[in-house]
Amino acid sequence: MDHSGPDFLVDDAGFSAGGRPIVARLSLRLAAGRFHALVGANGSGKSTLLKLLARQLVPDAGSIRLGDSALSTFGARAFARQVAFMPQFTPATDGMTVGELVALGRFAWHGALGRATPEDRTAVAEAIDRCDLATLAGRPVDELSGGERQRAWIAMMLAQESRWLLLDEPTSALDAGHQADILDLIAALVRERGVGVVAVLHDINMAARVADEILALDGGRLVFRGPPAGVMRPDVLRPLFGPRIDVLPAEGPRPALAFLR
Amino acid sequence: MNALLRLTLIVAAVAILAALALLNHHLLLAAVSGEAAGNRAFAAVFVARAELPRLAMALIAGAALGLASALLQRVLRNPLAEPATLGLSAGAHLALVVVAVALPAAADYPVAVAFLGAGAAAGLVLAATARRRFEPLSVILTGMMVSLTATAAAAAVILASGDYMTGLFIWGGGDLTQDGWAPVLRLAASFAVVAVGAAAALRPLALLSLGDAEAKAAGLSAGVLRLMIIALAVWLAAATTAEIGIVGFIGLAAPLIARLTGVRSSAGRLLAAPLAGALLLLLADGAVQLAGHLTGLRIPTGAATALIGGPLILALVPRIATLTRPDVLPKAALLPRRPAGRVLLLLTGILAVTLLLALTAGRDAIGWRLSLDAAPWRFARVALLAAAGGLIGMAGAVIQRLTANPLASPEVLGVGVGAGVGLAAVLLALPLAGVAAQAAGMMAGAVLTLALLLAFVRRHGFGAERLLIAGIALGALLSSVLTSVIATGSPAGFLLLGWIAGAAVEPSIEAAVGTAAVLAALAPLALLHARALALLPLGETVARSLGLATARTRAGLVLIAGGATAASTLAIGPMSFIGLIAPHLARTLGLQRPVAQLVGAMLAGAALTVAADWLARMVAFPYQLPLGLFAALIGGGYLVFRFAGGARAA
Repeated sequence: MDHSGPDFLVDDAGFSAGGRPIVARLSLRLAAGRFHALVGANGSGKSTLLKLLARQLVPDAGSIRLGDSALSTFGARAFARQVAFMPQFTPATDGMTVGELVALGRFAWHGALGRATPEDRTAVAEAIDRCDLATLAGRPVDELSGGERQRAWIAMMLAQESRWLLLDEPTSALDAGHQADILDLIAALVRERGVGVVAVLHDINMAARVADEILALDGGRLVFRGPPAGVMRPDVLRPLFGPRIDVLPAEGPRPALAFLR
Repeated sequence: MNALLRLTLIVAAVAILAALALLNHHLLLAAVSGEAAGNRAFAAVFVARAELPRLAMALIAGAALGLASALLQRVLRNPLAEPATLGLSAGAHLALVVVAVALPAAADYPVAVAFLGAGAAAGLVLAATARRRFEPLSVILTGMMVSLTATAAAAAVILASGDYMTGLFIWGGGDLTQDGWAPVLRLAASFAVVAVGAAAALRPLALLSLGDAEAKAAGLSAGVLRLMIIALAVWLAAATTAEIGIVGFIGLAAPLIARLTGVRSSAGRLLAAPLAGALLLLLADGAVQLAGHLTGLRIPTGAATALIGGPLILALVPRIATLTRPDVLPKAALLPRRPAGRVLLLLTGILAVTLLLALTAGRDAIGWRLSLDAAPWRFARVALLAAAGGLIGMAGAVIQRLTANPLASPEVLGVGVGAGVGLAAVLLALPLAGVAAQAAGMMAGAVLTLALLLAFVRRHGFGAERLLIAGIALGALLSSVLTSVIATGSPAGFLLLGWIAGAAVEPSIEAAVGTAAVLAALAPLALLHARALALLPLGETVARSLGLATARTRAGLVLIAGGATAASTLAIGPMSFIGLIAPHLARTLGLQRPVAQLVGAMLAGAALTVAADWLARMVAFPYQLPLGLFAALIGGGYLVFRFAGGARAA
């Protein structure tokens, strides 16, 4: 796959609920082929921004474009071939097997009636392989452990072969080891396939470890944007997460670490 | 709402109530005393033994419904819970009807009998939804099924016992007419007992509203408390049904009004709900009496309250934050998977045997016999039933996947009842209408209802939750219209009673061919949506993210399911339970993927319908029982079976 996917262009977009702005008049460009981590305290508008990008919500001011086209101009399937979105809470899968779930990712390509082509089958097999699910393919998704289930959903997004992956706290239910596995897998996809990623991440250390760029939101506003090294500073983190947060500077192979005093 | 506005509203409400009562009083006096001065004494007796008790009954029954609903809503954390939506009233009514017909001796203990019926309904609803942790929408859906089935069964029992029993159905429509003080006092006693019990449980109830785990952490056995409160509420609902029949929606509106008046405290709301209920029922009954005096029509009060309640639910929907809680839903029960080919072959075999049996096996004056002699006569009937059963089974599978709710049945689209109202309109307008005109009326009713439903949910992108709620509300509204027509006691009403009981099968080869043609047209359309039907159970967000144009797809599927339900209802009457069960059966047998489930549900629906009809013809030979009764028995049995299975798995 080439590395020239379309960029996301957020142009003065805002979203309010109940008269209260959740995302306030934001303008930014998200470059294809990079891993963007959205961080911020609860209620800072991270998830809402992600849903705006995913077209799950429509901005009530401004506009969002993907490449040269406004999001609203894409057809349902055409948009799904560009952008895949994984919500924070993945729904129950109604008795589906892992293989069946991953195959649903191909809907954007074959549609309601089209035959499943060899490419479809290859994409599904690759995604299953990539997420280490080969031995689980025939098992019902509801039967799996939390980490395995998360991998199954990621595999479904991979099979979708979109240019962008939007993930809302993809690792919230997982222990530290599994969190790192999943995020490393996504980071590898960015490098190999040139996929663009926007992920809401709660753990600032984890975000700094995998992301190319960190975007920090506070009260619906973008308050910081830059490389991980730039965010791992007490003067940046304290306004976001409170005065008790501090940073242990990088030393040798160990990266900088944020911690609570 | 500010204090002044609130005060104005209360004063206005009391003024309206007083004016209504006075107006009705004068009209009543004019009616009973006439011109002659000698009738004064009679009028005085009438006021003391009929008018005043009726006023008191409206107050007490309204308060009872308000309190029962407030308790149910609290323990189930479900803003739509009330005796009517949970099927408690219909269960109590069915028990009372059965006892009145079959065991008159027990009719001396109406409250106990009603309690058994309402308790059984509550048990069914709660057992069927335990696995979904009493998720509000699922509870209401199951309650609706139990209600519809109990109503159909009650209609069947009334029909079977002769037309002089139609009075039972009228009373089932919620009639507050009184001829003494005894019923009022009985209900007041029940109310007092439950009120004392509720007052005692006030503090634990507040804890319970935090959630089971929290309540347990605070040292409270949530299960026992919940069961006790539900039992109290069921008792009150049963006592009310025993005295005045089914009065819906008072229970829905009363706690809501209590909340809207700005009462905050937990105790305050439990007090305000009965008050609001009392005033509301008084208002509704006053309006019904006024209408009666002015037009001479005897409208059951329950039908009138449902007419208010349907729109109320629709208005309520946006205010309810979470009716479905996907995040708290436990893992679905693991269903088996089997090779689709083999299971479908097995189902086809079962259907073939059922068809053969229905065509050849029967009873005559001598005994049981198998013969081909009657097959040509039975062919049209059996073919009609099989095609209609296939349609309703398919509609059920589509609806359950479309709404991502395994407890939804095609009846949630309201088209079945809509067809009934269409039939009612034709019967009332043209009493001598033939079968063709009746069918046209039903068709128009079903199509109009479906159009109305689509128009309502269109703004919301045909979302599953809105669809279910709107369908339930529309269904409740239309059933109240049906009940009112039946309660007139006219020949049209009697015909409708038969239709509700599912006794209206008019087999003709033309009808069979027509129904089969609809099946042949709609089944491929449904199968073409197989991929969408695999995506939709994952919910709006995921389905859209994968590239499904959800609004358009849902609209198309609602039309397919609605068309199938309408055609099936035209052919064999409302068969809600078969639409619920057939898709389940397919999945239980191991057909998990959409295409296999759709085909399996069609086969199972056809076999179930034909089998139910055969049983209905054979069991009480030479009398033929209503098909609806057997469909209900099979359905009720299935729910119980499911409960047993669920209890083992839990």
